[in-house]
Amino acid sequence: MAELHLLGQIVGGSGFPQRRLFCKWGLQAGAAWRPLSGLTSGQTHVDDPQADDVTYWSHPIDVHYATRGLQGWPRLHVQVWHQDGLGRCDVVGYGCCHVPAAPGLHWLRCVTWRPLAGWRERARRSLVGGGARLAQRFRLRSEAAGSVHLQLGVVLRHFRRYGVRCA
Amino acid sequence: MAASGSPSVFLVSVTGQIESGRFPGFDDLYCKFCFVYGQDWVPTAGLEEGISQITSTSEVSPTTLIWNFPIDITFKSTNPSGWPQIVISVYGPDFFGHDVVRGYGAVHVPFVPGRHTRTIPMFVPESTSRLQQFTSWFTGRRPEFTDPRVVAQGEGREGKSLWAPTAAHPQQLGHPLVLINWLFLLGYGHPTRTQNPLLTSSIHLFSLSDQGAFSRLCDHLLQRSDQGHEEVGL
Repeated sequence: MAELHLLGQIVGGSGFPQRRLFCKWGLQAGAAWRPLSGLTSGQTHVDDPQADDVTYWSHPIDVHYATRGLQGWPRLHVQVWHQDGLGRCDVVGYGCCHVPAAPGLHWLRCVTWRPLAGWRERARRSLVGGGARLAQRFRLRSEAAGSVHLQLGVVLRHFRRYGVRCA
Repeated sequence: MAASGSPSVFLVSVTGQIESGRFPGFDDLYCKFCFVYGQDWVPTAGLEEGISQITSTSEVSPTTLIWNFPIDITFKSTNPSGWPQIVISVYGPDFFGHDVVRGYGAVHVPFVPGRHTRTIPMFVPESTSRLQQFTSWFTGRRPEFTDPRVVAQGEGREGKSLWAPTAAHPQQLGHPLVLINWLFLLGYGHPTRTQNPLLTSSIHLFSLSDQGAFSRLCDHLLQRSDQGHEEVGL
């Protein structure tokens, strides 16, 4: 079986208007992929930046996959949440990106978006907090949110043995 | 795990220094470092832990604290899983002279050989209880992690920051700079240049202090990786 190591960090987020943010993340892969070790999902701490406007999480990622096929190359899903002063949590951005298929060190910027609510929902959000959550994409209106920055190192083993060139 | 007939053990040698840090509003700080690594990893030479001198700013460098604290360690492993992370914690005296933590941070040792500079964002935990926040403000004592190694672990962060009553919201404070110089990797799989991604070398220099720098960095790295691929012939 070919093997893939994914090592790195969810470095942080930028471009979000809120301050106290945390990120829920998860790796999703096809049926041919099997995680051998490491966490494939998690949640960062809540970061309240004191020095500048970039949120840093420095959340470590270290996953080892074995695979029998290329279909369903791993994808990383991120959800950026905001915690307000009363401890309530809302989603402020959804994002998804593929794990790079080339070995080496990669800096990724995962753009995020969030569902656009109607005026009633928006008025409610500005008054009492909370926001639209994602159910399905069909006919969904969305708006841009900030970006999540990732630093991922990819190490591939035995792909060449099965005639797969990754570069 | 290894390909038949090829050596399965590889070595990672890390030398470098904790060069400097910026902690606005704080002075007379020292730092500790330690390494966190997986089960398959064994340190073969060098020091795993260290405590630096106490440094302060001066006329020459009014905002940056200089540690110039060397690191030199070699690891042996058969499996990249559990790649070593360096954990740095910075401490300094408060108003009463007690040592208080001023930041925790962690970063992976570089995956590719070469000269690397890493700027590590630093965090301090914050109490979620209002009473504890008040007492910590009043007494100047901050919540601390009993073991700084937790900052290199992916588990249990939500428990520490969100839900537990005595929990921690890491706030981000300063930016110590770690300079990690050279990294050699030997013999993982077939150590040919095209086949082993770990043996391609590159130089990454970056600072995450602002977003403009970040996008410039991304552009720079994209160019670098294109060039690198041409050189290696991928």
